[in-house]
This record gives sequence, C-alpha cells and structure tokens, in this order.
Amino acid sequence: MSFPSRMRAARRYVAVVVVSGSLVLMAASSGRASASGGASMTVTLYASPTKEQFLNHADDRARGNGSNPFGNFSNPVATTKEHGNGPFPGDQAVFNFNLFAGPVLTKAAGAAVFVCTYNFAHNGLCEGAYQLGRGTLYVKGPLDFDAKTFSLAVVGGTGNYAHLTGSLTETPTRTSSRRAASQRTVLSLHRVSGPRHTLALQSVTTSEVFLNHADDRKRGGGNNPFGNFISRTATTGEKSGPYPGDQAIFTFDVYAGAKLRTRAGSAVFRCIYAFKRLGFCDAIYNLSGGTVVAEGAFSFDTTTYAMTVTGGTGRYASAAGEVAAGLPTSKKSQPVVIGLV
Amino acid sequence: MRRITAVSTVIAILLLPAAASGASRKAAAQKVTLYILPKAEQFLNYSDARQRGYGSNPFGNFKDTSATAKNPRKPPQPGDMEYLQFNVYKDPSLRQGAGVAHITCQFSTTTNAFCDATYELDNGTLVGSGMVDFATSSFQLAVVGGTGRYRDGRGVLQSTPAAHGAEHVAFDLT
Repeated sequence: MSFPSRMRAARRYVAVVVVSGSLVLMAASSGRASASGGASMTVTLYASPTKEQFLNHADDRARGNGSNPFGNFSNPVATTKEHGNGPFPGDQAVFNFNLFAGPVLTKAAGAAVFVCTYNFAHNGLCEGAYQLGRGTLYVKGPLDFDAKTFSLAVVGGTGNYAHLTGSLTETPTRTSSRRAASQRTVLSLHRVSGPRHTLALQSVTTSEVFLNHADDRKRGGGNNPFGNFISRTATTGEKSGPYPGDQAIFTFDVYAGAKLRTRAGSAVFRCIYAFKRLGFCDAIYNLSGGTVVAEGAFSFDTTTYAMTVTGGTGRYASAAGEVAAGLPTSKKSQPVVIGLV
Repeated sequence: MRRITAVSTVIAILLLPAAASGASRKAAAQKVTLYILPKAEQFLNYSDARQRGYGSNPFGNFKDTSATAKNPRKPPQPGDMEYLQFNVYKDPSLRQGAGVAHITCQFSTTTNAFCDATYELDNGTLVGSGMVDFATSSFQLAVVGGTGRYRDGRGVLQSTPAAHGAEHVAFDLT
C-alpha cells in the first residue's frame, strides 16, 4: 500500500477533533490511548518495517577538515581503517514502516519513516515521522543499533498533533511465524502551551546543493532495532529519483511582506530523501532576535508543505508550533506562516 | 458485542487543557551543566556526490544555476558531514563521568552547519538542534526534547570552551 493510500486508510480509524480550544483525540480503533492526568496522554501503536535503504559511505570518509568549535579536535586515529563490522560513522539508513492499531497488524493506523545516520560503535542519530490520520508526530534522538529497544524524544507535530512533546519507547513484540515482525510503540505525549503569535513571512529560494548518493546505496548492513529488518527487494528500482538517501540543501532569503522590500532574515533547509520522493527536512530560520528550528517530512512533488517548530534560540527559545508554506507567487516567493507558542 | 466492547476499550477522549500544561511547563524549569571532551571524529567528504538540483521541490521548483561548490578543493563544502563523539562529565576537572554525547553536523553553503546533538546521561537524554558556525569557538543550540528525566525538556544550550580541552555546556530548560 502506498504512503498516501495508507494515510487515507488511517483516516478511517483516527478521528481527531478540536473542540473549544482543547485537543480531543478519539483513538477509535487506531491505537490504544489513555489519559494520564488532564495534560498528558499515551498512544500505543504497532510498527512493522516495510522498506529499508542503506547507504555505505566508505568512499567518503576522510580525516577532519577545517576548524571546529570543539577545541579544533581532530581524530588522531585514522578513520578510514575500518576494522570489524560496520556500519561505520557517516553511513546512513532510511526505513519505512506501516503502523497498526493492534498487535495483530490488521487495522492500519498510518505510516512512519526513519532517517538514521550512524556515528560511532553502531550508534546513530535517528529522526522519525509518524504520519497518522490527522497530522504527523516527529521524534528524534540517539539509537543503539545493536539494542532491541530504544527511546526517542517527541519533538513536535503538525495538524492535530501540533504543540505536542514527550517521548517514545519502542520494544519488539512476540511474533509468530505467520506474522511480520513488529515493534510496540508507546508515545507519551504532553502539550506545550502559552501565548500564541504568528510570523507572516515570504521566502525566496537563493541556492541549492544536491547530493547524489547513487554510488553509496547498498542493501542493509548490521543490526537494527526494527527486528533486524533488511529489505529483500532491490531498493534502487524506483522509476524516477531522487532516491532514498540523496540529500539537498536549500538557502532562502526571508522577507516580512509580499512586496519583498523588508528583509526579515534568512533560512536554510537540509533535506534527506526517503522513499517516493518524501523529503525529511531540518529547517533553521535566522530572524531578528533569534532562530526558529523546525523539521518536517513532506512530498517533494507538491507545491506546499508543513513542518513542526521543534525549538529555537534567543526570543524563540523553547518555541513550539507549526510552519505552513503556501503556493509560490509569481515573484517566485513563497508565503510562509510560522505559528508559535 | 465483542466488536462494541473492543471499540469501547480503545476509545479514549483526551483533554489537554492549555492552562494545565502551561503550568507544568513552568514547574519543570531547570538548569543543567555538563563538560564534554572530544573522543572521536569522522569527516565525510561528499565531493563525489555534489551536483546540480534534481527532481521537483516544493520551493517553487527552484533550480540553482550557479556552481554548487565555489572552491571544491577546500573542504568543508556544502553537504559534507562531521561526526563527533564526546565523553560527558559533571565537573570541570573531568573526573566524574556522566555519559556520552554525539554531535552530527552537515555543512551548508558557508562554514555554518546543521547540527544535531544528543547527550545520553544516566537519567535520560537531551536532544539539541540548530546551526553551528565552525569558524567560532562557542555556539548555541535549541533543546528540542528529551527522554527520561528530561522528557518534555525544551530550551537552549550554550557551549563554550573550558579547561583541559573540554567544552562547558549549559542547558537552560523550561
């Protein structure tokens, strides 16, 4: 089932309604949910891996280059002499999952995508998007690829999951030979609230760098905490790129009005492609008084997009909220509304 | 009947009052101070991967017409990545271990890089994200969340040079 059709299926089961300013989440058949006090909730889902793309960056590893703000530290040991089993620092992996409401994996609840970058000793940094019926929840954090369980931070959400934070814990379920491997995913969520304000901006794209990792795409290597799932099918057989693991960096000038006369700052997006041209983007808006940090997973075949605000610095410290970009205008600028809490 | 019972057991109505969560957010405010010492580093040179834009994008289908690497022989260039591993300590003399930290960065079009930082401590994990200028010696990141004791933790972290080749990392969480 494709990502969009799985999302449509999920909508049949998940009903999220906003009533009088409070979030009312009716998890009818979509996942077990329970309230813990008035301000937090727990959602339980079951994730079954469906696709994986591993990127072996052996040909890209080099000694440190240039300065860094960590005491100009440069590794004294050759990093290209790889001993033992990888994955090694810099390798990457993209995983897709189907989400279900219960352990029998019959009722669809959405889909998830993880993009992970390995660092040292089979550990990695993973960012995940849980695309549910009425929005997306985003998670991020360190992951031990030799472990069976893991916990990640919930850094925000879009749609009816906007302004949510918390944590995620994933553990393997017992599987029978007839059933696919799955992980029990428990999301403990909490809503961020406070005074709301909106930034109405226009962004103009100024540069792009595309990274084609065709030479790095391989079958999965090493362990993973997703039932050691490795795609059995060829992962490079998609009809048109960009392909999973490819990356792109975009820079933007940001203006305060549609006439593009008042400069408000700049923005930079770093995106890694998952399957079917879904881009997983980290965004930073450098504005007067601080930065807004956001991330989002959206199709690169569309003309609009949404992201979640995961935090900020300066006047935007501890910010939560959403970024909504509308249709580009004739001047090639794009309206961007940042709603902050 | 079984169906009705099954549905009723999984239906939950969850109210998240704004006032209640706002209050708990204030109550959770805390400061955390750590010292991190670099242990390992890995640089990835993506010179073989850089090319002009490819495929559609939702940014007005922007296509860059200029060269993507101004001086390709002088890394870091846009897209290159840097990985660092650190030991984490509680004290400036670096005697009391507190965990490990990893910083994963990808360079943009300048010496600035997107960085994600994770601090894996005994009682939970803190996650930071933001832009770091690699030409400077100190930086600030947004704290975007955490697990364990730091679940729901948001705020800012400030990293500055400290004694013994370490970095002093001050978290201001709300």
